[in-house]
Amino acid sequence: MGGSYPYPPGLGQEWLVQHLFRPLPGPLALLAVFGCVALFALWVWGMMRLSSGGRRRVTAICTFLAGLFYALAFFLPPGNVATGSAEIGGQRAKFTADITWDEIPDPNPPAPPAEGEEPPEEPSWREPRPIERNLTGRLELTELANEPTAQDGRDFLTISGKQNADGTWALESLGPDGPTPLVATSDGGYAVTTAAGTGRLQMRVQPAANIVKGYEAPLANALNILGGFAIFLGLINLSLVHGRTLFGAKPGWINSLAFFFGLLGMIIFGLAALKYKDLDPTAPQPFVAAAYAVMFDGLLKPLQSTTFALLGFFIVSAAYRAFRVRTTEAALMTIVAFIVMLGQVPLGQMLTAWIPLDSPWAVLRIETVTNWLLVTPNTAASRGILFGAAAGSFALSLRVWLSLERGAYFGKEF
Amino acid sequence: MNAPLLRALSGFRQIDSRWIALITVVLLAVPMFVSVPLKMVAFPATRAMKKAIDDLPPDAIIVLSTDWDSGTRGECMPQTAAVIDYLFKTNRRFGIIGFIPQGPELAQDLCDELARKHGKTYGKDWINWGYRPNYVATIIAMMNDIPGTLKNDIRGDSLVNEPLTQELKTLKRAGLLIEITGTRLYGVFLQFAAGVPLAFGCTGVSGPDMYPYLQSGQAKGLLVGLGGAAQFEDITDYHDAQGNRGGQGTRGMGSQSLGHLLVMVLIVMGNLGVWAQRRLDDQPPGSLPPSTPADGAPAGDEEVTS
Amino acid sequence: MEFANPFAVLLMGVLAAFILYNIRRGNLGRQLFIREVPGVAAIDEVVGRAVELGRPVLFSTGLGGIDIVTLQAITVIGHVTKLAARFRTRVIVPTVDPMAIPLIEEVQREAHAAVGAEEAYDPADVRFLSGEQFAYAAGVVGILHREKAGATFFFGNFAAESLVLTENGQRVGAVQIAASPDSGQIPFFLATCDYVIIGEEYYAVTALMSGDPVLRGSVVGQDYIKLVLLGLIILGVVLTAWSILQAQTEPHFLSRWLEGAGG
Repeated sequence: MGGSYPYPPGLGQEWLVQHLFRPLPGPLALLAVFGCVALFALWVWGMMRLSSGGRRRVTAICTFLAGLFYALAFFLPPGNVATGSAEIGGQRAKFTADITWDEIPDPNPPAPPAEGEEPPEEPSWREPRPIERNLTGRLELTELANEPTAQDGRDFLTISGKQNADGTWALESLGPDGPTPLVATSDGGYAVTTAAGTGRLQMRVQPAANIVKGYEAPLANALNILGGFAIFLGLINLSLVHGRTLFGAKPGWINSLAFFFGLLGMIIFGLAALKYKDLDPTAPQPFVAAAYAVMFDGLLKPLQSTTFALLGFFIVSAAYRAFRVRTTEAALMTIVAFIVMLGQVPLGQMLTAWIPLDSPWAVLRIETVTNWLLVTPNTAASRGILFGAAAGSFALSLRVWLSLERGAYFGKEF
Repeated sequence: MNAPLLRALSGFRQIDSRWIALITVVLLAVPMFVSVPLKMVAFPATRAMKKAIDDLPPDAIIVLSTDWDSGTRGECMPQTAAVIDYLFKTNRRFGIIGFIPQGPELAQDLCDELARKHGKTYGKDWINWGYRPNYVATIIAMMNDIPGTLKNDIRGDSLVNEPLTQELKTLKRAGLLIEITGTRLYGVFLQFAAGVPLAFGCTGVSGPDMYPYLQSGQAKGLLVGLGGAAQFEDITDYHDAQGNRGGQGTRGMGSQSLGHLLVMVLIVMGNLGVWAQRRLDDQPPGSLPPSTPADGAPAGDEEVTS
Repeated sequence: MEFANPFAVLLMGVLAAFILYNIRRGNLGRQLFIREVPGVAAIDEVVGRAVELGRPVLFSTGLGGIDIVTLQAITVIGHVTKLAARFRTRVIVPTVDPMAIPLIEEVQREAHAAVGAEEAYDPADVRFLSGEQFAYAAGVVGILHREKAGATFFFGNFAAESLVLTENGQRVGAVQIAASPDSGQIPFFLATCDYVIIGEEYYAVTALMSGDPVLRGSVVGQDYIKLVLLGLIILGVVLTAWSILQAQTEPHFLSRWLEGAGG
């Protein structure tokens, strides 16, 4: 997804992105992987050497920094930027610009409804109001071929522009003679003329981002890679637990044997079947691909469905056991549950189907009552819980971020 | 009320869960083999889903996120089939994406079948972008650039010359984003695809959590569970490949009706049992005749009468 | 929303200020009241029951990865392990996230050390089962039946597997406490568990368990946040009603602010 990451310029991010977050050729990639593993191991070793208190302090600092990063990514206002480079009269120049996003007002606003007239129903889809992007920036010489002059670094050209409907930009330079349109060249650049000569500008427009936002995606990738390593941790844990049961011939060792068969079968056939993944599914399948298909489509998927289907039985038996009418509230809840259960299915809807839909009594039809219960009281209760949980989550996040929480990983124990 | 009857009723307090499971299996399975025509009234949430699609301009492109797997396919697959069928029927173009590995694969099978039925062409009328990990990063990136983010479709073909993706360059320009899921992924769309008109299909269990978003207007339409699929099939006049009216959702309504009925009957029986036991407990010990095994009382109740 | 607008900055600033102000009040020794939550008060009793029965405790952290919800659950694991370890009772923790294994192991090791029960600590009690929802559920159900758990704790984010887990807990006769900030699974927990900690109560668990003034202050701060939100709702209702009465076509200022802030 490299092309879409909002990497803004400044603070060396472009350099980092170009040099760190890019694919490496074969041997270098292997070296990088081993390097990362070694760094990771060093970090773990270092952490283990620390005392419990020291570990907590390091954890608190890391948590704070990570929280600060995400807070900055959210709170720092985004910059709208365009960058570019040019070569003008054999000299290099850089281009930086700000982009403002302005809404184009609706040329034909809908007429307000006349006196006593119902306003028209709002359609559920509305053409997004077009946004016009305006650009103002400057082109600046950075490397002077000749002797430095008074114009050094200041020989700049103000450029402004508007985005066309097709996504390209209509740029013009603002010189002493007034605005001059820049002519687009065939390779997507623009021809520019400055006091230092003529040249060609290549411009790149980047999505809105602030100075830390650009690191979010690479960090998420790094976290995914860590998660990948963690799978090995999980496999080691599982193998140890089941290995002990199997080799100790403890009760249930047969389940542990099944685990090892399942694990090895999936890994071996899964990897071997990768070779045949582009094979036409209607053609005869080689053994490994067929075996993998049996394990994945014939075993894993039906087992998932089966476990989910168990819910049906559990819902019936749990409802039977739990709905005991001992109080008025329980009675009320049972009545509501009955209405909702009946209103959701055709058999229940048939009970009140004799009330015509256009009669004033239609509000008493069971599906109408069910819908009211779901949309009104249920929404109110759900929102109440949601607001409370949001407040709680905000408070806990703040406590964790500032290391005010108690527990083994925080400043204070219980 | 006489004691033997009360004692028999009190047995309803503790029906063996194996009996409950057996009755459940029978009641749910029978309607799958015996077709009973059942008429369903669509909820406003389901009608809103249809309206959200109908209100779109003819050239709008829809994005369909199928985030379900074999676990929740019982509810989500009929919803997906009904929605895709209606999109094909109304000549809407759409792209499929998924953030659960099995989702787009299972949707592809559905689409292939329905495309044959409606004579639609892959790449021209619909495209499947396939599964993508990192849902947050991917959705954010798709908001600004779909072809650059996704690069290729489920078949591995490049999106550079793919007309549908080239026309819908950003997620922001999607006419409607329909998310069908049994997970909590809807929250990610509400947060990171804000501004794109959203509609949802969810499992019956998630339904109550979704209604607030419908009421606030953040969701333009909502299909809840198998019932939602059946209602949508009904209002869109769904016909299967053999020309029979109604799809998987409608066919499931018989089982669902009997399932709900069974739950209600069991709740009533359980409460009758508790009530009968309370009556038995309230009676003075000498006033009851000794119980016999023929009374069918549970063994534990012997103490009450002795 | 990718970036905060000025209204979001203001709102978050005010909310954070409320929390920090109340934490400070707690630190200064003010007696801050928060109500008892039966589920939290019952934690000791539930562990005690497993000890009496001589059966292990099972603690599931749900389907979440390492986030604040799971971190809160891990803190509770420390507390529960300490209670159980005193009586040499095992606390088995099956997890879906391998990254949580070292955290939970460390918490359990420290809990055992704190009560002088180092020899009772067994790293095999923390088990990664599977990242797949239903494979995990099947694994937990297997442990419940094989180990005959005397008490079960379900703390974290759960989905459709919640009922599979708790119904099987019922069947082995375990006393069960479930806690989830997410309202979706609450009906199932209510039907099958002895105690349920609902919604925001989840985030107050450590404050209630420890009685620490800092944590109590933060929970009181949460109530202030809810008052602010309630105030905004009432203001919104009044402004909307007013603009309807005045037949205004333009949205009122609060609506514009919130639209800018909203996701």
